[in-house]
Amino acid sequence: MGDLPIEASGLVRRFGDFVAVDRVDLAVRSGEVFGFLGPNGAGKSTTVRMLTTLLTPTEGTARVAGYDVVREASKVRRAIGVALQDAAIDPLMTGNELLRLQAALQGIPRSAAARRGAELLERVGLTAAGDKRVGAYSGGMRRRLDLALALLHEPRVLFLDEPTTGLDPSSRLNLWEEVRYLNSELGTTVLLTTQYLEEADQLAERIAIIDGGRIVREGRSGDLKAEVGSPTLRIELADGDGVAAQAEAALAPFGEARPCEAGFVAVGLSGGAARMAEVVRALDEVGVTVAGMELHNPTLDDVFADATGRRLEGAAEDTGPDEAGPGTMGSDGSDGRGSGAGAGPGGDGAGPGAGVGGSAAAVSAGRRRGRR
Amino acid sequence: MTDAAAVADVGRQDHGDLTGDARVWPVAAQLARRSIVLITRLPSAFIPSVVFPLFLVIAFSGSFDGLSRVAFDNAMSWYAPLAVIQGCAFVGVGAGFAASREIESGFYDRLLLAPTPAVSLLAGPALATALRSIVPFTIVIVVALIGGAATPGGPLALATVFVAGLGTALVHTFWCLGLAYRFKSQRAAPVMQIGVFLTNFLATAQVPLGLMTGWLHTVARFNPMTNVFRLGRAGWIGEVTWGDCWGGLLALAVFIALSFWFARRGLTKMVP
Amino acid sequence: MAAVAADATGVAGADARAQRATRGLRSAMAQVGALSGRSVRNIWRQPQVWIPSIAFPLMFAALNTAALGRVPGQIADQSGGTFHPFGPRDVYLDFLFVATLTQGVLFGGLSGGSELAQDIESGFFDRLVTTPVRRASILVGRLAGSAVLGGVQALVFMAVFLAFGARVQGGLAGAVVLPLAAMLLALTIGGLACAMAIRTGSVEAVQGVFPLIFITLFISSAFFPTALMTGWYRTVATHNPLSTMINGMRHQVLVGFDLAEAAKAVLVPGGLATLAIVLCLVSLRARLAQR
Repeated sequence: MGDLPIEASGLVRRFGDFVAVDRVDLAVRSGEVFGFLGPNGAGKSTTVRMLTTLLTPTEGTARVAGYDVVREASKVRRAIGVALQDAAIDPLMTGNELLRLQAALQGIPRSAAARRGAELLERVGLTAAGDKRVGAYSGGMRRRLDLALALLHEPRVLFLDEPTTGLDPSSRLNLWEEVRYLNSELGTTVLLTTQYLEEADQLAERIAIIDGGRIVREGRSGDLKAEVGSPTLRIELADGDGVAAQAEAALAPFGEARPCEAGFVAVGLSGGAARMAEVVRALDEVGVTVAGMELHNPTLDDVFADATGRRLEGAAEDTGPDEAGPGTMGSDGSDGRGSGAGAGPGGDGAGPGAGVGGSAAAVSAGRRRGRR
Repeated sequence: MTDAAAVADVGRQDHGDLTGDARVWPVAAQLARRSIVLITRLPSAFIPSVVFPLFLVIAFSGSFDGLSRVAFDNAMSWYAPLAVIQGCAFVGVGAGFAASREIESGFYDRLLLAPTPAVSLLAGPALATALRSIVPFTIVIVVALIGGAATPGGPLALATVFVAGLGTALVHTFWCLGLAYRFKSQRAAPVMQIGVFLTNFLATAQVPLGLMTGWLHTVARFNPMTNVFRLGRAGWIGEVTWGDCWGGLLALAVFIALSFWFARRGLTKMVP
Repeated sequence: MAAVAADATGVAGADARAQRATRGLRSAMAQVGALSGRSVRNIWRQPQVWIPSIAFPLMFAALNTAALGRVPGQIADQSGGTFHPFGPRDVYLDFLFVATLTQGVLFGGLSGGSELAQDIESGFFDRLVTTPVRRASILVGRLAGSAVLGGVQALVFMAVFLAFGARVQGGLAGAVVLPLAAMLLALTIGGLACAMAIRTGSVEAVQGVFPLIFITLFISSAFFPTALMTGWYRTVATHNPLSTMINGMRHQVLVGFDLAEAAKAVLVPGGLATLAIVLCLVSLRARLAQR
């Protein structure tokens, strides 16, 4: 193993016969935000619990901040900050009390703890709420306090386990800003787990997609999308699934079939938008009536679908506005960060986003994007 | 810092090394402080450990007052130490309940993630238990003395019952923490409670050994809690003698050590 | 002609009313039957509800018998055989029988209220009240489970105590009084718990009644004769209605069947059960009025 802030090799965790994490290898570079993306139950949290010393690996090894997570657990704990899923914070305590407790747990001298605590509360906008009980905090405030607690001892490596699950859009954006600040200004290495495609795309320089305990893809967001290749043409069938076989046969010459929900067929359209008219004609010739069509550039959901044959749970809600919208190709930036996803309609590659028949999804996507 | 850790540090700017070696007692004191503060914030979790011993001393001495004809001279003097010991045991159970609740809610992860010796996670609740035990002790003793309890052993009677109560509280604290670490949920609660009832009522909690018959007599004779009750009642039922005390002190020392080991092992199993 | 027609109309109207009343009664019976069946089945399917209410009292009985078994004899001996507060046979097991039964029924009776509170928490209660089912049927149905459990507990305790050497001096007539009183006591506790459930809608609040029941049971003649108590405790225990009921039941066990004592054993819990059910109905009306 090399000298990376987070490294794992052949990490396995079994619960009885159930394999929650199956031979996971990880190499997170210093100063990087690394996204760990997957549906519920994919093994993200189990992996994080192993890396943060809360769970012993059944097999494999892992080093965090240069220390072995099993043999040097205490040193690992000193070097890391962790904000776990659901922001498990005692609702009966106040923010300041929790900061004092955290300081004691981390062995921070009292005077330094008070100064640092005040700075952090200010940084996360909770100075006024510091003496209020956490039970009275909103979900967003709890997450921000959780983040402040995780940062109290200035950790070299920060683990954020689904930091924005259950938050409203505005709180989510605030938290993203914090993560960006920590990474860009302080150089903190961040491992972030999420089930939100957009979050991974927005924050992470590199992404590992995990499913069924295994990492199925890993790389930069842009590279992963590029690997999927051609844009996906999703066609709604007016006559439902009964004509799906005919439709798929007619679409075969245009590219490989892609997974999609019932009542639709999807194809990786080689040649892009220019061939959409041809597709409609081909379907018409075999008697398939098209209710709607939608062309979209590869997204992380496509990457996930390409790797697993399934769509990410909740992907419809999550990817609608910013990833699955028409015309995002080309505006996405090669590193998959910044303004890439959801940068607005009409990129350079996919003009007729909602071609024949229009697309309610595309319309709603446009509206939602506008709101952000 | 190892070379590897130094490499991991790359990219940080102006990070002072705030983290030191968290020592046992500051952490334990902070955890105990939290536990005491939470009494006022969640009284419902603490009230039973006050009300129950109070009820116990009144109900038992009232119901079984007639036993003073055959078993002891003063029912209140007999049952006050039981109420203190039982009340303190439930303070220990409360520490186990709290740990179970926090393990289930995830808050305990925050404690487990701290670079502090595991023993501080046991010392904190133990310290809190010791402080919290003062409450049932004081309330029961005041009520018992008002209610006519006699203390032939003088002020030493207060010391014996406090030591017996405190020791029992620590045993149940460690035992229940050990259960919480193994069950990792509030399903452990009935097991924790039953433990108190079984250990106490299969000893001389209710009546003296001489009054018992059959299987209970045999069990109570060998149950170390019988020695603890003898310690607790020293000075309440007769004078304080070393003969009444040493067995209880030894039993408590052994059981505190064993239950501490049980909790420590549970904690180690939970996290590497 | 007109009068005949009016009479005919009146007769027809009365018939129709009678038919409606019969239909209504049948429908109410059917509703109560269905809801009672559900209540009994629910309790049966949750062993964690009924097993402790049988096992724990038996466990305490075993403990108390071994701890206090010698006491009746010693007390009698001290008085030169003239004072038998534990009954003519001076057997603590006989004395404890009714206490164990009462303890089990009191704890088991709470299940009716807890179940109702669970129904309220889960929204099932709302579903019931939006149907044309009679409000009283909901309560009677819910309480039936508690009453059946009370009767079953009485029979189980009787079987266990008889197997361990207890005697019911009142014979069959005395033995019948016990499950009857147990069922009425279960209705009382179930009714109080249901009233609490309706008022609070919280399982936790219903279970919060538990310590109160424990105190009421303890400050009574359940575990020790009031004749051996002193001071205010004796006064409270003597006037505790539970003591009146327990003494009535205990007379059937320790002395023999006595109609006046049997009446106490049945009428006290019967009266309390009526009050509890009225309280329940008032609480229900208040709850529905708030909607």
